[in-house]
This record gives sequence, structure tokens and C-alpha cells, in this order.
Amino acid sequence: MSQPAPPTPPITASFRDPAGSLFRYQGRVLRVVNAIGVADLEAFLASQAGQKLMAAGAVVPTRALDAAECRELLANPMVRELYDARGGQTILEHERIDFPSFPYEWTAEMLHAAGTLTLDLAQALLSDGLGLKDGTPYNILFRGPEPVFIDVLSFERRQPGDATWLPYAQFVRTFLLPLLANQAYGLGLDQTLTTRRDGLEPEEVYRWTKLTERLRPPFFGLVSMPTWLGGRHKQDDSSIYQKKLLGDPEKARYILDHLLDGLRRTLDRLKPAAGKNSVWSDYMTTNNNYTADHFQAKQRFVGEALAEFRSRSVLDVGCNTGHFSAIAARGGAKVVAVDYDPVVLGDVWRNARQEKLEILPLAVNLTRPSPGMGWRNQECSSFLDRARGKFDAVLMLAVIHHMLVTERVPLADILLLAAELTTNLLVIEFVAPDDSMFQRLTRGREELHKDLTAEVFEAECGRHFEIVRMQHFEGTSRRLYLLRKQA
Amino acid sequence: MPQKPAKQLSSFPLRALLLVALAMFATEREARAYTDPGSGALIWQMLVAGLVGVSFYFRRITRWFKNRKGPRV
Repeated sequence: MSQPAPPTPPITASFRDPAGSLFRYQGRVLRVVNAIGVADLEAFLASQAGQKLMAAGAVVPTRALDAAECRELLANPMVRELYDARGGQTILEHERIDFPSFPYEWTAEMLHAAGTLTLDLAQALLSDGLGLKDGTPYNILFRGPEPVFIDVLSFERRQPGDATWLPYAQFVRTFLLPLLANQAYGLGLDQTLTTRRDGLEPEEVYRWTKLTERLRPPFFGLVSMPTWLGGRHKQDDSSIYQKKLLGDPEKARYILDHLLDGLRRTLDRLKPAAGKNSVWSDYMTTNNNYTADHFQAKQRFVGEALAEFRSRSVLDVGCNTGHFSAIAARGGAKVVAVDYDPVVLGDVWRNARQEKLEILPLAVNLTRPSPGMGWRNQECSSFLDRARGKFDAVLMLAVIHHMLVTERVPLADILLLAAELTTNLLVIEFVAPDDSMFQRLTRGREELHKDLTAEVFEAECGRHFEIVRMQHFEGTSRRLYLLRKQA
Repeated sequence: MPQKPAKQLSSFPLRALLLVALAMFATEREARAYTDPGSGALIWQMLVAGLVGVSFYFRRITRWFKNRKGPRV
């Protein structure tokens, strides 16, 4: 008897856009486009601006599959079902972005860069008679530190007399107000965007404002006026949503350009300043237990390990200023650098962009990673679903004591998760309970960790990994391990 | 002692201005279901667009004057 075929997971496809659906199939990123979207899409793919933007990488490279390729795909009953259900007319294939990330995992700098890209596109396409019909950060992913616009069904042919930018309010809610809340009230994007798919409402921010703020820019135009005007507007009157076309296309274009320029000025005003400090900012320079020699040795250890095993994709857990992420990226690896402090991550992003390093910084706390979000928890997958088995090396440098002590995660669980994340290497630093940084965290609860010794640590590692080599730094209780996952 | 009244006096015009502006606008919206949160931003966009539209004609007029001067030079 033949074995039944292993069940293939059902295809989950995006469903919000009336013009089409995005889905993943056999590692490919595909999109069914229906009658509503086809004409706009073809106009975009044929436009000069569209070709230029795709060649520059600002819009994800996309091609329409030919008839033979479509037939081959549609031979699969699940793809067929999706295609028919959505009234498909054509299938697109997009270049795959290595590690999808979502706005609630970004730093404010990244949201600013994504907003700038959105406005760049809206303005670049005007000359080809095209426009952008939505303005949300969910249209954007990051390739290393660079934003890439992925939703090619967001482009539409514009009516020449139309002077309004319909996604204006959405752009304000999803880009400008979260940045304003970050700048004015220190709220991270995780705090404002994790549970709010559509960003912050002006009315919500209005309640947080002081009286004096309400009359000054950018609060006045972003928060106060929309709140006051919205409150006075009759809710049953939908006339404001009817398109008003101007007789003079030149005037419409002039107004639209000015509106977009105004949004850009506001966006730049909300750009996070470089050189901000958090409690973690000076961790690499003053706040660690290494002498200059030890630190040199640590850098060598990490660099040599990644080079020896030719690591191509690296996860740096608790990356802090991104020093070791940069070492990995300079060696040619694509790095995802996670830390829970978005302020130091802002610097990681800035440096990566400046040095053109393939580092994607994400504000993720590995002990409380981002959950699956949206409808059925499936619209945005959880951080761990995206990360498991995606890296051939994981770095956990000077981080396990934070997980052990502050978060009370057992050592065995930390190593089990590391073994799930990496396909090959784990470079991990052992910090003993008598280390001053460890003690600073225990605050009198030393009793809980008294049994943690290097021997216990090695025994736990041995359950999933073999020790390739270990370096003990003289005069400290710190040890660096290069571990290889057991086959 | 004399400092306190001086400080109050200097901020009086500002406070009055604020009070007038707030009295005009700052009536809190009553909470209702089916509110339309995008409407305020859209109306604001239209008001701004109207102002920009006026500046468009202004620009056209000044351009016309410039062009009229231009050929004579």
C-alpha cells in the first residue's frame, strides 16, 4: 500500500484588498489579481516611473506569470480554488523579502523611512498619471535597513482633475500620529501599533494633549483641527467622500503636490533625532565587564566562528548597539538584530543604512515576542513563526542573564528555543551568578541561581548542541561558547 | 512680592487668546457608536486644499505680470 501524501497546509491569503490576494506557495510570493485590479496594475507595470521604481528596489520587483506558468500553478486544487474564489484574471510573482517585519516591531526611524518612501512613490507616479490609493505602513517591508514597497495593487490611474489624496487621513493615522506620540509622549510603536491596525485616531491623541499643545503645530493640523471638525460634522452626511473634480488639471496637480509636500514637512518634523540616549546606549562603552583586550578577543571569537562556518543568515539576540551584528554583516551575512530598546535600535538602523549593511533591526523582546496578529492571528505571523529555522547562526551575547533573572525563563528553555531558531550555530556567552552584572539584576535573590555553574551550563547545552570551542576570559567569570546543533 | 502680578499680566493676552480659541472649538465630541473618525481629517484636507487653490491663482497672476514684463527687457 502506498503512503498517503503528507497533508499540505491550507493556503492563507490576504483578503482586505478588493483587487486581489497575496499568498505564499512553495516558498514563492504570489498574488492573484482580479478584474477590479488588472487595469490599474497594467498601467503601473507599463509606466516609466513604475519600471524605474522597481529597478531601484523601492518597489518590490514583480512580474506577471505567463500562461504556461499560470496553468502549472492552477493544477494545484488549492491554488485553483483561491483563484476562482477571488475571480482571478492574472497571477503575479514578487521577489521574496527575506524576513517580513511589521510596523509594531520597527523603530520610529524605520516608520519615518517607510513614510518617506510612501510619499516619494505618491509624488513620483503623478507624472505618469498614477496615484497611491492607500497610505499604510503595511504596504512596506524592510530589506535589511531599506524600506521596500510591496503592495503593487495600491497604484491606480488618477483622474487628472482630482485634487484630494484619499489616503491622507490613513497616512496621518498610521504614520504621523504614531510618530507624534513617540516624539511627544515617548510611546514606542509596539505600544501604539500592536493592537491598532489602523493607527491612532486624532480624537484619541487629542485626549492626551495639553491645552497649550492643541494650538501649535504639528498638533493643530494633525490632532486638534481633525477632532474639532469631525465633531461638528454630521455623521450621516457622506457628501465629503464624493469625488470633487476640478476643471483645471494643472490646478489639481498643484494642490496635490502642495498637500504631499506639507505631509513630508510634517513627517520630517517628527523624525526622531539622532544621538538620543536610553539606559542601554552606553552599554558597549562603559557598562560592561570587559577590558579592551577581552573585548578584542570576543570580537575575534565571534568573527572567526561566523567566517569558519560561512554563516549567511544571523539572528543577533539582544543586539544592543549592533556591534556584533555589524561584524556578521560585514562578513556577508544577512542579519536580523533584535533588542527590546527601540532607542538603541534606532542607532543600529542608522548605522546599518549608512554603512549599507544588511541588518534588519527589530524591537522585539525574545522573552515576549510579537504574537500572531489580525484575523485568526494569521494576517501577521508571530515573530517565532517567522524566525524558527531561518538562521544558520544565532548570537546570544551578554544576554542570557537578562532572560534568566529578569524574565525568570529556565536555562533549559532558553537553549531549546535557541535550538529551534538556528539550523547550525549558536554563539552564546555564559555569565555566571557571581558576575557583577548578573548580581545587579538579582537584587538579593541570589539564592534562586546559586546552582548555575559553567558545568551545569555545559550539560544543558549538551542536550541540543555540541561544543566546538570555548574561550574563558581571564579574571572574569564569563565564557564564550561556539556551539553546533546536533544532527 | 511685586514679581507675581507682573508675571500674570504678561501672560494675560496669550491666555485670553487661548480662551477664545478654545471656546470656539473645544467642545468635546459626544461619544457615539458609528462615529466616522476619518471625516475630520478629510474636511481639514479640503480646507487646506481650498487655501492652496487660492494660492494657485495668486501664483498665476504674479506669473502673468512677470511674463508681461519679461519680453520688454
